[in-house]
Amino acid sequence: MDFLSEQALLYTSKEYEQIYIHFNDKYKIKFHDLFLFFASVGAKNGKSLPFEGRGREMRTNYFNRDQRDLAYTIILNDEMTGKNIDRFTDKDFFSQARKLLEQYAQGGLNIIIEEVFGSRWNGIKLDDKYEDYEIDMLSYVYGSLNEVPF
Amino acid sequence: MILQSIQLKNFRQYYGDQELTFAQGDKNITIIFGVNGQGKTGIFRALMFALYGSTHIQQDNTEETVHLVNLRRLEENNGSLVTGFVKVTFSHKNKKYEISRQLKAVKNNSKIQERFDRVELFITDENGNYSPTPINDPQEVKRIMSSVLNEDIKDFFLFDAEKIDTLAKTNSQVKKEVKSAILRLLQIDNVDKAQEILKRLYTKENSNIVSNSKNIDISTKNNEIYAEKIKRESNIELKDQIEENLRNCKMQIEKYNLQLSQNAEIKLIQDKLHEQENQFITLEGRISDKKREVYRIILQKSPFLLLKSSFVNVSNYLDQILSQQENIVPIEVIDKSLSTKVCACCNNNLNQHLDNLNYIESLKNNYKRSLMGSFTSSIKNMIIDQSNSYEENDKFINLLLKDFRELNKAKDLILTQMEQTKIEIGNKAKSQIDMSKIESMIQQSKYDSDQMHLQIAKLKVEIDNSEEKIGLLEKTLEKMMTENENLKYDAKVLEILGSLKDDLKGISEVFSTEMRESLKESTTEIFKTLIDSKDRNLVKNIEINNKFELEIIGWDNTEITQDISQGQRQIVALSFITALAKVAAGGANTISFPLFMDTPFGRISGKNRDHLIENIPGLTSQWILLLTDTELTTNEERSFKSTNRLGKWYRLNQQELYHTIIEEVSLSDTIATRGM
Repeated sequence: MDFLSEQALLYTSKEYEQIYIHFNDKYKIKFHDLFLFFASVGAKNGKSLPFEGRGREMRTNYFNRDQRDLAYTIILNDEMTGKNIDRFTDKDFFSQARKLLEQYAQGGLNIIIEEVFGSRWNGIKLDDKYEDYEIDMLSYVYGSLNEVPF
Repeated sequence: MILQSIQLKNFRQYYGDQELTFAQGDKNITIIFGVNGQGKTGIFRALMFALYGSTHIQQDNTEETVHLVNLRRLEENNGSLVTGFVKVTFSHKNKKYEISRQLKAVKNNSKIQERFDRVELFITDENGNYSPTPINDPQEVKRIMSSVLNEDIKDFFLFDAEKIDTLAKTNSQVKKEVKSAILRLLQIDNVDKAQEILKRLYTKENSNIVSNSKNIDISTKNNEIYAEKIKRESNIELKDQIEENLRNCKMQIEKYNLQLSQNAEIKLIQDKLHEQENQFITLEGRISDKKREVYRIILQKSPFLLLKSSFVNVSNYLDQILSQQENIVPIEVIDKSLSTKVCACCNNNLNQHLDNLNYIESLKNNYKRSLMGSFTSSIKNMIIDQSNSYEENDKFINLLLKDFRELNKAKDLILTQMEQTKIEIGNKAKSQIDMSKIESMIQQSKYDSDQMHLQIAKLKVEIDNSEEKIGLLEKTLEKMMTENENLKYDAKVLEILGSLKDDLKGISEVFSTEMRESLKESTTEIFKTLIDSKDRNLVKNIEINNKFELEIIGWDNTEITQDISQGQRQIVALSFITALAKVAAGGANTISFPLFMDTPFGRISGKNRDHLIENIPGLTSQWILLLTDTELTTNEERSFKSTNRLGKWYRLNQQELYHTIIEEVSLSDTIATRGM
């Protein structure tokens, strides 16, 4: 059932690959950590974006226990594709589940680009000179946790 | 000399007829107040023009034409003659003088031609006898004016204060001018002249005797004396030159030391910058730590925080699944029971209890579901753990962001401070050169200075030797002459001339020394009255050396002429002028010349201004001030009024360009426009 503990691959989109590379090169941020953050943003906002063209790849077994559980939560929370635990032993489902995570990561990153990076993302790469992306991302997180519903 | 009044007509900014009278007696202060460009200096020019015919004052470039006739009137009378006129009335030694000068000008298109027209001087003598015909001869007028206030020394009394500190400067040309002016004022110049005449006469007589004697021995002796004198004069000249070089060298050392002290100031600012840089580095380090913490939170905590709402949904779903599971038995237990045919839970023999065997086999078939237990538990546990720490993590993020903002703010502040410090260094460093270079130049200058001291000492010995040798030679020559019957009469004449020359030299020295002593005492005394009490002990004495140069001696007996501020130097100069006039007047308590000052307070600090305002009226017969708005603020106005010496109060009111009106202001009115 814990299919993410196996050596399967996850992919970022080619379109946003440079963002992963930027944080990895500059701050040694691991792809799978960043991937899960973006997937959480996508899942929270119910935004999954299909994409074509694979970018960076990462192994699912890099996730620790809690991260895998969180990824399963994302999958199980998806009413359309993931909310059926019986399928967690079905090998055909594994790739669908990974795709679901990838699309949430893509959707989440799309939200971050729009709401956080703004013009510092020129469609190809992030502005190298800017130093406070992490602060902006954390501010975004704090803002979305404390949003006042109306 | 007491200035009574001045009348102006179409002179500089003064269109038409204008007049002002000067205060005298107990209330001897006259203030002429005007902001820049309204004609204060025009009044000063008018005075200089009327008294001495000067078309230029010290601040002017003498090669450039200064138009004295009013430009507005010239414009109005385009092509016709306009007369500019100034008349000054004053009294001196019980005589009354009315001096006026006139010039004519014409403007053709944009070209102005101006020429001096005439001078008129009327004198009313001690007995009130008035001469109806004026003196018109410019040379005669000049001679008379020189007897009142010599043109060479007028700048000591009628001056632009910005220029007066030249008195305390060390430029040799200035020194010579100052010295000759002082000698003239003190009338020592006549003694010097007499000495010079006698010296020439003595030399002439001596050479006559020698040539008449036709005695080879006398001629040889005389040549020896002449050669020795040449040698002595040459050594004196060389010594003077080296002394001048030594003074310059000392000034150079002071200049280098000043540069070094400026470097020391820079060093202090650099230390400040260094400290700010360290603070900046520390802040950067703390910010960097915070950023690492931010990344940790983003990657390790925020995904769990963001999915809080999903946790409820997933948790409910998992609970629902688990509730459908019953008696979940681990696969190991099932496998062991089936292989041993003994139930691992109840020890039943499964061969005998086939129902039990069937049940365990169905459990084996459903083992997939039993795996789910640990899987869902893990997810559930994660959800519980993360939900429990949600609030704590949320607060932590808030604090982290707040800390970061504060650190960033502190960083911006220190960056601004660093920029300011760098500008400060830049400003200070503009005149800087390499410190080690300055150090080596100081060493070189000190070495040069020591060498010059040695040379001067050596030259002094040589000069003394020459003096002695000349004395001996002259005695021998004198003896030779007196022994020579033919020359006895001439030798006697020479002896008398020599004795007269020596007497005059003695008189001159005594007179000069006495004058200098009086000047020194008086200057120091006046300086201590005028200077702010906190600086009173800064200066011990103001010395006047045998060349009549000012030397300011500090409390520790070192010469500080070059070290005092420009404002203090002006007060030294003022003290000297006042003392000079007092000594010249035979020690009268107040000087008999007016002090006429154009913008005098520019460099003088508030307290010193108050001291000057309080004390100068008591030292001079008249004090006339041309003051601008920054010099006459409400503070100075209060000080002037409190002296109770204010006699006349004028405001220059510019109606339009080249049309200023002199308005007399009531002494009870307020005139200052600044410092309200």
